[in-house]
Amino acid sequence: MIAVNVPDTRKLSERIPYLFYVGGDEEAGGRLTAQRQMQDGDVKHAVCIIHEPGHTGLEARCRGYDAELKGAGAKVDKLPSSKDATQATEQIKGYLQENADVDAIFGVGPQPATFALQALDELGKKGDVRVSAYDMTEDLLTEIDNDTLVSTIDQQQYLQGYEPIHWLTQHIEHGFVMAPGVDMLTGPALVDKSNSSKVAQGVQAGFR
Amino acid sequence: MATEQAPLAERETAPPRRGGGWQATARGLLIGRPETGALFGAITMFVVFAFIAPSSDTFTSRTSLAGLASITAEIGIVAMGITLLMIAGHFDLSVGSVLGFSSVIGPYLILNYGTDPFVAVLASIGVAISIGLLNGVLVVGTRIPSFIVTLGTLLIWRSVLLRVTEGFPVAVDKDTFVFKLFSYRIEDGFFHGYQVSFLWFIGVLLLLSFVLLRTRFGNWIFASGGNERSARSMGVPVDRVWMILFVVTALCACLMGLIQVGRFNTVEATRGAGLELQVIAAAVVGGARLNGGYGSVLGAALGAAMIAMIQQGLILSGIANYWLQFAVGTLIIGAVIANQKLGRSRPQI
Repeated sequence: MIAVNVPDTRKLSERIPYLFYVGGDEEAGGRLTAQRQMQDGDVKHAVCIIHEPGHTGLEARCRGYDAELKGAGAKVDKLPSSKDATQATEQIKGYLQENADVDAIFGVGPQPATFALQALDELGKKGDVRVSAYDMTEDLLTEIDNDTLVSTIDQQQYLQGYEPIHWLTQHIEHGFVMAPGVDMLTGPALVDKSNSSKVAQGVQAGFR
Repeated sequence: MATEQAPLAERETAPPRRGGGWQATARGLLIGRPETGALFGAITMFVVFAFIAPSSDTFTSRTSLAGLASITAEIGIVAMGITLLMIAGHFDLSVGSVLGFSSVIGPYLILNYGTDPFVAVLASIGVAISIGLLNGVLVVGTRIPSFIVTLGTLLIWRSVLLRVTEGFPVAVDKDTFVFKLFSYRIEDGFFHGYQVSFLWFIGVLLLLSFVLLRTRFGNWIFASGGNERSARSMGVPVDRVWMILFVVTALCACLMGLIQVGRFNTVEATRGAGLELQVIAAAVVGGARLNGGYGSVLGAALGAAMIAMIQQGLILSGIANYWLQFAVGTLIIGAVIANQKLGRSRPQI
């Protein structure tokens, strides 16, 4: 058995006995997002918007973002938001109204990032605040091309489907194994304006 | 604003009002009405959040009030529809899936078949009517409790939605005129920043209140939920009332969906998930009984406003939104207790 997309984060002795994990490193994705945002200048006050509080993967994305930015001296808030489009957008607008100095936003999935962009648009601040997302939709790639979204993270899920089958076949036929606790990462891969057109080709071809 | 009264049977058994000046008048206006608790609660909540928000003008700023109006409008439209159904003695747990499925149909037809946007919106409305009718037919035809039937259709339509979208968002052009009818944002004047959804909300509030309070059909709604057997013996077409109300509830969910399509231009496969609990909470906070026969359209609207105020108020007060569900849960219990004290709502919930 191979774990895909979401690892068991307990100690090795307590976790589900799978061979290894194939997927992204969520915390590294958060860190990578923070590093990319800081390439465009210092971040003073950032917020991580999480639409499913308690989801271990999403919390890990926030944790990585928080750690990287706080290490650079920034203030970082976490905003648990509704999954409803209107409620989330209004919550983000309310938060931005109360925290007008926020200069960087990380939506831990396409939905919170999209709602953050909508909120900024309605506040007349779209393009003034650095926004990053996680995962991809065609709309998010368009936002990157329009310079309204700094970056998003690709977990390269195609590999998360391909590699487990490949490895299970090799494991059964030839006994290939991985050392205990060693995982196979398919991400995070940063997508920003420098590579968005190439990524878009992959999306259209059905590989990304 | 006119308010709902208890069904005829309750009105007849209510004690006669005593004379005695303004106190009696005030008591007559407030006590015994389903929405009284919600009215006091909404006013109190507004004052409290306006007071505790760190910047004194934050909660009452134009942006914040416009946000409150948007959330209230959307939750309220569905809550008012489901309140009529609850007064008639039934539930609809499928509203979130109906919202998601009916609102994805329009963009899906436009995107994949080049359908005219007006026709696509009509198709969305048609889908909602069909789903509502199916809910009604299943409940009336099988006599299975609506809680079970609509729990089933909640899962069924979510599954169909996932199959249609394959889990991906479906988008529509940002400036499609017909969707702007549901989501136009006022750009100047006193109501700058408000969405037109609030006008839809006011329209639904007036229409459903009128139907409930001033028409024979409204009496049928109370009678169907208050005492089904008596209602039938008096010639009330209970089955027809229920079927119509399932359709009305589905149409309210569709309207909320169309408002969101217009504003966000995309529909993701999870759109509407969890809505059923919010709107039932709003209806209960607004004074509706879970066992039928009692409730208020205005109360549901006020219940929706309170949920919106909690959401916005916690954020603007700097309180982590992790406490949102705690606050809504407390509100529901507190509102039912208040309704017991202030109204004739008995502890039957």
